[in-house]
Amino acid sequence: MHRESKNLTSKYRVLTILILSLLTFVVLVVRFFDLQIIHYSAYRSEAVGNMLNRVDIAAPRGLVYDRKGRKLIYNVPCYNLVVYPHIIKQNPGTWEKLEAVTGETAEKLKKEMERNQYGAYRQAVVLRNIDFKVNTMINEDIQNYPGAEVVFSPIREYTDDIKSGNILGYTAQILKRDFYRYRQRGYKLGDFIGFDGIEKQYEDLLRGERGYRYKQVNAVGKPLSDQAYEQINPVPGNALYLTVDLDLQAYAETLLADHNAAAIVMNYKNGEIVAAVSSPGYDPDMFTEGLTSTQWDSIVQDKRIPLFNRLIRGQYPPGSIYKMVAAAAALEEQTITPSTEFECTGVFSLGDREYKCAHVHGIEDLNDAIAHSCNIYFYNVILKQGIDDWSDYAKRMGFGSPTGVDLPRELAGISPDRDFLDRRYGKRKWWKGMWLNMVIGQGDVLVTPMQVIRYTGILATHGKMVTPHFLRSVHYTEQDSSENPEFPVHDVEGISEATWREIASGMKNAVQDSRGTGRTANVPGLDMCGKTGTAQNPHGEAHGWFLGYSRKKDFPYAVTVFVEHGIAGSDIAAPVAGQLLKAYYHMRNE
Amino acid sequence: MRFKDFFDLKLSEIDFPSLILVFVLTACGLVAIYSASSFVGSGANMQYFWKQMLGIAGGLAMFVMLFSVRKSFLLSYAEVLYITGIILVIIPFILSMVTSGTNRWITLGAFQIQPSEYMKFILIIMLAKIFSESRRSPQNPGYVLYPLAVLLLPAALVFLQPDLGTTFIYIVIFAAMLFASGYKLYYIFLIIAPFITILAAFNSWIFFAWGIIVALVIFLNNKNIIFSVIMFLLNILVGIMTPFFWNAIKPYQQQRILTMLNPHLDPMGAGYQVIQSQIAIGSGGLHGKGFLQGTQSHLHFLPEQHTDFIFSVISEEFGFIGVSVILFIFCFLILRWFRMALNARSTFSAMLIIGGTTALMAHLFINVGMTVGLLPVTGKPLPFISYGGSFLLTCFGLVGLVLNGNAE
Repeated sequence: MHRESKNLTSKYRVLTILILSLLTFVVLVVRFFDLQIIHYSAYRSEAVGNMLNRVDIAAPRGLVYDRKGRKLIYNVPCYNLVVYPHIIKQNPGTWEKLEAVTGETAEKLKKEMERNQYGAYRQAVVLRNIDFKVNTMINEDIQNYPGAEVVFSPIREYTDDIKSGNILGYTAQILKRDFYRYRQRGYKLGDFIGFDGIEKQYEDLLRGERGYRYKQVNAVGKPLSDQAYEQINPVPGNALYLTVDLDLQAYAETLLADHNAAAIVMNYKNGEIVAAVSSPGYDPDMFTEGLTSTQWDSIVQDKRIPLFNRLIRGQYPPGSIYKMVAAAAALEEQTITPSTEFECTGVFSLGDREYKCAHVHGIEDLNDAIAHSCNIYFYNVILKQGIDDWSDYAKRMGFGSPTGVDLPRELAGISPDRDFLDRRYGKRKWWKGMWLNMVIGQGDVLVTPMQVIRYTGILATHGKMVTPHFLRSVHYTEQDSSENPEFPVHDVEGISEATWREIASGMKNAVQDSRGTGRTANVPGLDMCGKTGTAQNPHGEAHGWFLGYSRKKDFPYAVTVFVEHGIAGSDIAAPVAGQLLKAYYHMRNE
Repeated sequence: MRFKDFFDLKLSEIDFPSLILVFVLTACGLVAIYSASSFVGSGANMQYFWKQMLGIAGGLAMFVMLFSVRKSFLLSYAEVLYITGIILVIIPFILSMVTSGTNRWITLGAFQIQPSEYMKFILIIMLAKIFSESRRSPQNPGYVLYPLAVLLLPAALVFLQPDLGTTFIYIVIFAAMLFASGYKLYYIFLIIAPFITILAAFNSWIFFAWGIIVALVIFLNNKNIIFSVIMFLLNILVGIMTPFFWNAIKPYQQQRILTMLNPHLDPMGAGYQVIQSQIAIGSGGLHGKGFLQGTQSHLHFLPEQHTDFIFSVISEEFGFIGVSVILFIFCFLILRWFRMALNARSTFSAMLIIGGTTALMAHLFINVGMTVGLLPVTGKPLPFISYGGSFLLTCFGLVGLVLNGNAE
């Protein structure tokens, strides 16, 4: 046949090639074993993750009611137009169709998408709260809008009866710069969370649990059918019942509408706040719908600073309402007895300075001094006692520390003592004249209205310190059960009943006596005690204070009113306080 | 000359077990192609299936031709075939200058031919002739020069297309045949060394270590100092030139090589295919998701699923068991064909068998290695199983050559 008749190839070489070939087979089989057997579950879940597109279903936030079960915060249905960036990118025609149906320009919608986009595969809201007609037009023809969808997303609505943004707070989307703090708690960018007030304080109770809808999709993310492959329903947030009485709250807001003021009415037996107003208030609804920059500017530049929560962040000199601290300290430490008298000549000299009183009160005992708010009586007391006992009793009554009220970002005020003065002015650089200012609630003393209502409660209960609070009960949606949270109650140590009685009788005269400074607060039948305060301040008219409480057995309510630049406490604060207790007394008995 | 002088349809000498197993593989391919072309909601697209059937028919014709062609004819006309092949490989280059088309294909009406595919047969025939007729001893270094030139001409042309995968196949065919011819190992080392030098050149420490190995091997095997020094310096020179060459190749080729090392570097780009392929394979598990049940393929996550990634479809739907069966069939064929090479009556026959078998093996390993992420994505299909008529013709033709070598 042909020229070669022998096979001259090397047998060993051929066998070597064969062995190498078999080795490559071994390598392949090992690799398949590794992928398909050893790492099976990891790849399997990746394949499942590929084919299922998970869409979040927002949980409706918990509802918030007042103490009588009237809605304060609720949810209203809202439909948002969303797009899936990765799908719509491949179907640019959808933009034109959306432009036609919504009436918004495609550019604007695209801009919104970029603003609200948190990843190519997550839906981005392009238009909030679309009207019913647009919703139906899109939904009936959804196949022709690849990459777009209308999703139900409840939005927060706040009762229009009150403007209590400072108590209720508001919800808004998590800020991108804060997101790292929320990520671990299961939040996603774009989620709404409570900002400020009850919404923030009870975020964990209100937020509920997100649900999911799984849809089977192909590689370009197109859903294969309208039906969910699997759905995990969201758990709605829990319902909160607040201690607030909507009617009283609304009434308090109207009474104080013209003033920059704060007022609190609290049950002094248990600390329940039935009304708390920081005036001017604001309507939280404006945040829900997203503020325009002009709205934002106008609210931030408002000279009356409505966003400033005067109840817990306003720190003011208390003026004469602070005198009961000195009275308690002096009686307990036996610096004075109830019958100790000092003469008020209208002027008190210390060193080369003169310290004034509002009137020439003549010779007064402690009862008179409280009822008539004589400064000179307390100048004598503090000079005799020194500031150490006084500052100790102020702290026992809760000054200088936050009340623990269930609102975020509460401030503590300042309760000055020797250390404080050393720090502030330097050792030995302060003089006794400062004591005179401080004992009448001026100088370095600063308090918040919330501290004052707690203090009022202590005076009313003769030594029981309650925690003022807004949460009355929680209704757990999932368990369908309710729970009444407990707030701490302390006893103020080391003050005898005799001392409390002595102070109370002075406060009773302050309201019920015809010469009392707080007589404008009197409500006949409630057996009221109270005290006015007028705090000088360098920025203008004095601030007016009033604190008081009813001693009527079945009406254990305390009230505190603070009016910025309200001149004397008797002018605006005291009458408002009286009106509030009177109104609430009638509301309760209706 | 009559037809009978060229062809001899020696039916009785066909190795039927080989042919039957090849048909089993093509049947597996048809099943996988059917699955890969049916999608959720739209049913199966039978177009691919029927076109593949047509391809099998064409492949059978190619098999018959290369099986029945007389070896004496091949020996006589090897050079003519070779020159014709080279011209055909060059034609697309010229055409692409005129029509700005791709320079791999020649289009003739409805048909496209890819000359670099037929060049595989021609290269095997030409090298088989050279290795079986060489008058030089395999112990002589010059033995390699002529076959090396025969390799380099088409390899360089295909590399310029650029088609790295086919270039690599040519080199593997050549290397296996050269090795089997008994060429001295030391010389083979000298030929391979520069390629390893290229790889080593990417890391200075490895380059340094490799340099020492090269120096040791060269000085232990060669008494001629000048020759040794020249060989060593050539290797160093190649290593130094590598960075320049790296910058000269196309960015997409660089990218392929880089994402081969870590496909997760670029999950949406070049690495996407490999990642999706691995997910498909891994999620198949032991027994697979079942015929038509693969989510990766039916939801279009898997790229090129009829052709390059057909084995991922099989892996996903039939699992480790299905994969093992197919790999076993390939393994069995290769064992059988190597045995034929050992028993062949002439060097030429043995060389045809070794060349054909190695070519099929190389395709298999390049493709499967790619789907499991061990080798770069070169876009080479899987023999007998991937969709594509042109490649089926090549594969059946290679089987024809192998069984022809075994006949007589």
